[in-house]
Amino acid sequence: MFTPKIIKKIKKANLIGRGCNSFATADKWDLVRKAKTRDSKFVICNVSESEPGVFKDRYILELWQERVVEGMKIAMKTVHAKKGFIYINPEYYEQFFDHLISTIRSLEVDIEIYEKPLHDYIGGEETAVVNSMQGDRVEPRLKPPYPTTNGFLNQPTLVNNCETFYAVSLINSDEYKNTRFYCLSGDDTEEKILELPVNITVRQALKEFEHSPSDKYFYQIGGKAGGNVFNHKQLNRKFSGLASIVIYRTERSEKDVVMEWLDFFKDESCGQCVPCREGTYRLRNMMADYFHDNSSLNKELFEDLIYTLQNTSFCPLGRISANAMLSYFKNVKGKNLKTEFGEKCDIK
Amino acid sequence: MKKIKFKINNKRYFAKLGETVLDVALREKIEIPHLCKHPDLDIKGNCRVCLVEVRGMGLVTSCSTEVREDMEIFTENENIIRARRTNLELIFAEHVEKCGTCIYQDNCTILRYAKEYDLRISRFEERKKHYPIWQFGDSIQFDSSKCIDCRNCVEVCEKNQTCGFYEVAQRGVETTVKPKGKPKDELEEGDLDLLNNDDNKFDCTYCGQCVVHCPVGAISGVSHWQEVDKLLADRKGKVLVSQIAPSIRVSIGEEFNQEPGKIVTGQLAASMKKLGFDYAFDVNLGADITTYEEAQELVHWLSSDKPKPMFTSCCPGWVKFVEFFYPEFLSHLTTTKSPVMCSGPIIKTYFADFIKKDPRDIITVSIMPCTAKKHEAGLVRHDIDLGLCLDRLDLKNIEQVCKNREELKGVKVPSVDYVITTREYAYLLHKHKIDLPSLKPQDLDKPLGVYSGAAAIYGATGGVMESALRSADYMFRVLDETGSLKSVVNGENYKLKKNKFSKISQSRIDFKEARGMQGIKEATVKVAGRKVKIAVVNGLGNARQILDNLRAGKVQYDYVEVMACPGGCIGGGGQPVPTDSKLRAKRAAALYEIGKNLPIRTAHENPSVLAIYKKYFKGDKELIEDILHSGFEKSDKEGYFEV
Repeated sequence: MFTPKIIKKIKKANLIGRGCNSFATADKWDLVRKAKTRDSKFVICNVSESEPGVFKDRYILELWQERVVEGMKIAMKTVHAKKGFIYINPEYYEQFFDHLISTIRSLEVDIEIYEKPLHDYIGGEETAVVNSMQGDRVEPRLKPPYPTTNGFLNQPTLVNNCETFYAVSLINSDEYKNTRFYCLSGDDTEEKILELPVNITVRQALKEFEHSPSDKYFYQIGGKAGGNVFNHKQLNRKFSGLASIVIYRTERSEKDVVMEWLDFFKDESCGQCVPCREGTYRLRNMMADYFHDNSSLNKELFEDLIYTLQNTSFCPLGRISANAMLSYFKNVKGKNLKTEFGEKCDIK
Repeated sequence: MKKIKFKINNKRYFAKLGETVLDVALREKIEIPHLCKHPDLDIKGNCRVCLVEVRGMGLVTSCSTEVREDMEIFTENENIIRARRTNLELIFAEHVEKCGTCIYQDNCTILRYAKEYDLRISRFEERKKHYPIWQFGDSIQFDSSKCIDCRNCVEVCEKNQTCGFYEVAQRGVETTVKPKGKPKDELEEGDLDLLNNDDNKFDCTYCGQCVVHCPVGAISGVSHWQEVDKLLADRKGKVLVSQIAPSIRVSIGEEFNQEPGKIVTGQLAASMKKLGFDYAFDVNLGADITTYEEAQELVHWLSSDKPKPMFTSCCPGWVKFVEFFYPEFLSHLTTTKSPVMCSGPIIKTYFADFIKKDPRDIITVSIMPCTAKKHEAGLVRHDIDLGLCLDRLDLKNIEQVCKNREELKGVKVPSVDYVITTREYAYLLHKHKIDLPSLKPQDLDKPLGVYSGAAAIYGATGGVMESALRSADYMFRVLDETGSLKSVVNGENYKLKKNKFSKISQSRIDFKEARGMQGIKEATVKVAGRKVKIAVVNGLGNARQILDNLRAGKVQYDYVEVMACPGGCIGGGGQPVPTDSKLRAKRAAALYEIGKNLPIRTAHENPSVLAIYKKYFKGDKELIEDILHSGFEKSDKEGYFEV
């Protein structure tokens, strides 16, 4: 069966989507390309960039937005989409709109810029993106069906991260060198970005950032909300998902770091499903009480909430909402989750 | 078609492609708790209670998981119980229990789950204690402190009924399901809610579909049962008359664990007496009067050059829908009143005279499958002008009772004083420990006479249409032979010279084209040699489609029946919960069964109807117009307010 050359090249480059889902880009393109419709297909460039600690899309738009639009143009041609959208968060919209419009004009492609209504977290999930663009409530849809067959206006839709389109453009012109953008932020460092090989470990990346890991710090890998936390000895690991490192001073108060994560998920839950809407709220309150009066934790309830959030939430937001806290307890505070909180208590 | 084979709890089952785990479980009677899934609605998967474990996939919601070849599904183990119980506890902490005043207490789903799962409901503090109660017009109340945010109401209102009166506001734990926009008294000039253009037009039609799709009883009809209960305890010299709508006799049994579609007319009659009503009537006679009037109107309409179609108007949800969303069609509605609004005035005049009572001392309580009837009952256009009735009608006994006739001049009384839903009535019976199924059946009171098989089928979609066509068939023939409908107005039961239906009736009886549960049925039927193009519609979304098509000139009809609720009144907003397509079909089948077995099958052959016209109206067309007809008004947004 015929496969377009660009899809073969993307496959050969082993390009994995640069959002948080780690889906093989070539496969996604092929699904949209093969999806049947009597109407039109769409290509959406996702510049929601809503995970705290990640700011690579801004960097890419500052320096190489022609590459991004070029990547979209290639995608539109490949999957037979007549129309493309750049779904962009309000701050970036303000910053890049004028420039993007002229880039789009000069490349003579039908791309519309869509300002994301809020700078929220769930609005970056791909089905929430299409809901938002349709004027529906910003929350994830039941899957399947996936946007590849039933996306924007129920039409086959390719949703890729901004950086993915950038990489496609490089692959197309044979300039792709197996690199991606890494973000560093947190205590005792400025926000930094480096373009580095895709398969390096966290320790290697930190070395490039000229940071020497020590027990003065702990590290959150993969986003300041959804990433897992590791101590300075656990950094010989590769990145999964977002290439982001957030540095924390070990001396930070347990209460502050834990409550920041729990508050974030409570506030960012879309409110659609019971475990996430209610569970993130109850977990947050429970821990707030625990820190407030230093009472003993109701471990049975803690375990029930964690288990239910992780295993029954509608979308990944609820499923990962306790990971930062649990991995912090385990890797930084040295707690044994299973013996201290219960058999079912584990990092998801 | 290929069957999929798979296992549930190590037992082999088969399914069709596309069936979900929950579909199979419900079919095979494997218990899986579930709240947000309703067969009338799309799968939302937000309550996360219908969890099962699939080997290789972990916990999944059974409502949204299609079965696959060789899937291994488990419906009960430690993990499943832990997760279901936790989610149920979280849901319970959203739902402020007001069981004492909740008419669902005897068949409350989450209360049952709470017992089955041995919930520790004290693990979380109730978080909605201070949430408000909102009221829509005079019909529906939404207690948001009981809402579990499943959104069934939002969906049924938006997608099925296309009225869009609900919205999901805020996010996260602040998420609130609520009527759209601001309360009525907070609206200010320039508010979007007031725009009322086609894209921003929403209001409640009081149909009550949100009520019957709410799994936790957060939405209910504005209750009238307390007042009725008080009157039953102390009637203060009043005569209490109850009347039952056509459709409740085939549905109320469900509230007493009877098979759906069980006909309990006799037990209902007995129960009303046992509760203490002085008279227990049947709205079916009113239905025959409606048919008799409406058929005349149809014959005149189709014989004139009035723009077509003529629409039925006995469904108050549908009337409100036209009054608010499509006022340009108001002139197309039949002005004939609904059955209960026809029987009301007759009870308070003709029957009052018969029992020698002051009409002001008669209280009528209608037991209805409907929440919009509460709205209809409150409309002043249905009030009875007693002065006028005394002037024009022969009501000697009333004159004697109210010695000072002048006193009644200009006095208006409501046709119907209280409307209680099927659920409210069942609740009253439970409250008074009256077990409906075990009562010895009695006859309904018939001082007003018998009813026909045409009336019996009013409660199912197509029933009004079929009843009216039967009588129109006769009336067209009368018109053809005598040149007018004078004999009909006089209640003379004119014998047709060319009577080809002599054995059963003077008209065609079966119009099977009108039957069936589909949302829109279209047909061209033969009525007394004429071709009449009909449409039968149920559900307001389907009604919108028909009106839009008419507006665009895409379709043409002569006569259209519309019922706001799916399946007609048998699926009404006042009916027992749950209500779904299977239950609606069983209730409707029971109505047709009743209709088929009645000796008289048409309204125009019902001697009671003829007697009322003959002895009571005496051919006074103006009076008939005044008592049995009413106009309509373009309606502004009625919105909602905080109680």
